[in-house]
Amino acid sequence: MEHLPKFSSAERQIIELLVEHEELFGLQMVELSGGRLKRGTVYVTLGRMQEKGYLESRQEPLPEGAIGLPRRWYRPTGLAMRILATWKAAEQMYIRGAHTQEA
Amino acid sequence: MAITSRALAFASRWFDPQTVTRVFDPLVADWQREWIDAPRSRRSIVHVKGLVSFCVAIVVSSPVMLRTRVPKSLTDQVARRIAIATGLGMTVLTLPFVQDIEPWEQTLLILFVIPQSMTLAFPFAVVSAVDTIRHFAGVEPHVARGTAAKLAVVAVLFTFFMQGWVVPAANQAWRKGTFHPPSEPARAPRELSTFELLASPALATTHEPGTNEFYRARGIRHELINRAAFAVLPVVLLWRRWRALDLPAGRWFSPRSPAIGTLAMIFMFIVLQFSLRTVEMTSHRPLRFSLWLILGLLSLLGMIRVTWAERSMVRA
Repeated sequence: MEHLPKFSSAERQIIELLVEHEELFGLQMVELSGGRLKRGTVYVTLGRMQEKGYLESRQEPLPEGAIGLPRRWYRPTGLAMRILATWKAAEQMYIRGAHTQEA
Repeated sequence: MAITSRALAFASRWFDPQTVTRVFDPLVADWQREWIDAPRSRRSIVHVKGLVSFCVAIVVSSPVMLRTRVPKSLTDQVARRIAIATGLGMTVLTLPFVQDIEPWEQTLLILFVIPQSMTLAFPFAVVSAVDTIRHFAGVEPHVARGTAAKLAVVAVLFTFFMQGWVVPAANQAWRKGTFHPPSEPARAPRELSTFELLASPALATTHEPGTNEFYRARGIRHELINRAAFAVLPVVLLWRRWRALDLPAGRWFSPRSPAIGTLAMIFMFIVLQFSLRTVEMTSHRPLRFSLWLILGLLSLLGMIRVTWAERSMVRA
């Protein structure tokens, strides 16, 4: 393997939210995270995750006559789902290992 | 929603299109939607929250701006322009010191004066580099701004390093070389490195007013404040020139040539410094933040000029 994909806690949080809700926009993620994701940094993280190929996004079509910019909705890619599954499996292995040692 | 459009325009001027699309467009879109959906009484709170998150996003994304690739030919031109302007300034500042003294003293004096004059000339040399960046053909606005931001960071670090370490070291070397018999000269705050000033025991304790230690501690604090302000001077001058170059040509408020612009900044700086020194002498009270006050006045004058020019353009 060339390198392991990096996965920060904020990125994991976002992927978990998106797995749960399928598709969300930035502000929704902040609200649903219960304060763990911050409004000022979430968009920077989302941009970085798109660059890494963890997320794909689409712009909400604006109704006719609506003002302002269209919202951007995000959903996880297959790569992000696989990384999340790998992390969870590694966590389970670690927990099981820790329990075995204790016993 | 003018504030959201302004915020987005600001981001577009400073960041590459990809960062704007991926970070600032969604941020502003959510901000706008939240504002539209909010009851009238909550709209100002939505704007405050949106603005705070926008500012945080700007700060968090600023490394992206500093990583902007600058064409090598532009970097070379900027470096050349700064070197020439600093060299000219250094020569003008050094000449009065090298007249009517012994040749052996001349060498030592030049060794002392050169770092000092370089540190003084450098912030003003940055002014002419702004013209090079702005007039460089084929550079996108965010690249030009990224170059200016990098220049500002380099200028602050250079000034801070020169004033904090090189100038005090040159000063010590000169004193040691000229004192006969060689002895350790008394080290005033100006002759100490920034690290030595910060670590000085005089700062650690409170002293009885009127004692030598009290004046020593005050002098050290004053010197540290001045050094910090002087390190920021190139940024203020860069910003002033940048804003001046936004103004159209051929009017009374239009920017002059880089040489005249630099001389005007030097003149303004000297006049402000002289005025504040006069205030200090007449009031018999040293102004601890005098250099910061000069920076504030320079910025204020720059803002007044741009606002005045914009208003007169709207009227026209």
